[in-house]
Amino acid sequence: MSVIDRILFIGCDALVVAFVALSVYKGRFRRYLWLGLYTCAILAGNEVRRFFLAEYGVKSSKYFYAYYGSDFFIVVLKCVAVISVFEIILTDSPFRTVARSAFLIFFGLVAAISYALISHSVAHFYSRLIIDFQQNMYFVSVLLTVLLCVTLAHLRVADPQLRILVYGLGASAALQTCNWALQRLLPEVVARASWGVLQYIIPTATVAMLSLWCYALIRIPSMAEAIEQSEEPRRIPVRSEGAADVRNVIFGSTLAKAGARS
Amino acid sequence: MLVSLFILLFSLAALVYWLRDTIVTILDSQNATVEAVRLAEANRLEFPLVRQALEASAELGQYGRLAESLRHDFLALTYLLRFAATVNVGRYSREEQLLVVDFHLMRVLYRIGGTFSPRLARFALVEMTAVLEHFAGVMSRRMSNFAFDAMGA
Repeated sequence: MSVIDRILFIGCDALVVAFVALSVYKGRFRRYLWLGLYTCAILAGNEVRRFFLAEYGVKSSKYFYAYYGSDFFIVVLKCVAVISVFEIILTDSPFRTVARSAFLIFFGLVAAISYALISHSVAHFYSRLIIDFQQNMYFVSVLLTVLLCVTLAHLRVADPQLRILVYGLGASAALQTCNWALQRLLPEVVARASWGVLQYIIPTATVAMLSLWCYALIRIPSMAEAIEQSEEPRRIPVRSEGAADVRNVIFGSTLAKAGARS
Repeated sequence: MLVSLFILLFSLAALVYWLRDTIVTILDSQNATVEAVRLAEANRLEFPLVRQALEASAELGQYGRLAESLRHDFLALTYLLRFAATVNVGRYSREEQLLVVDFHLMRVLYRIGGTFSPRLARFALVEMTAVLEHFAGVMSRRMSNFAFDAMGA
């Protein structure tokens, strides 16, 4: 394992622990339960891979199955995490039931197509098919996140923290999909030559996403926190004292007029 | 091959969009929501309290009072949007026009929901609150700019 691998592994694990700890500390763990579970799955996947790598070596079939099996498990949980965000933003919506049915049908279709692809190509399972499959699974997570962003925009969800979490999820999914698509598109010789770079895309995307999530929990206020912050006593800096006075005067007069008219 | 190319291009475009939006949201969110709520408190608007009440799952019996509070806030905020610190006195921007129409549509939906479906009524109230939050954010930014311009003059 190279130094970069070690840094990415340790960084990823530390960020997972930090995200879960922060979400518990900020009281957001139940709200972001599936995001937390997804991050825990990343941690568990890392440990499983590390164990099989150490025990059986990089070229063993056991490591192969452990790697792609854990990756499949993680990407499925990623899709579930995206759907959990749908559940959060559609809590009060009458479309919640429709959305649930749509997701069930969507996942059914993905499962059927994947099964058809695999069962007809078992002989070539070790070939590029696995790359195709991973690429499609990650693309499903990208599509779901795009749908989520459309819903966020349509409902004008005013929670910046939730938005950052979704964007982080989307950006990492898009980066990982690009990686699989590049491996599929590049000629084999070029893909092997550029493996030194390509192999770091997925862990880098995960580390970037987890960093963004931790940042969102620390620095970006949710709607509830914004309300709480506004209730705390404020110290107005000298520079803006005049501005605050001007604002009160203008708002006082304009609202008085508004009240008079209505 | 073509499918992979499509997936690559689509994912790249999505990646660029999300990166850009992440930066914009981080820059905007530093104060936007806080400012909107502060503006509401400074002017005795009630939409943050309405949101809190809705999040704490208010009962159907309270919806009438909440809807009335939102209507008052709407009147105050739309007056400010048209007449306070603006060069287009008495007019809305296109985006604001759309949101005003949306607010009225949600009021109609609220009335239908009030009769047939409490869930629909609640959805309409949440949507109306989101529109007012947006208006408050716009007004807050506009007033801050105006105040600093006035100080500089």
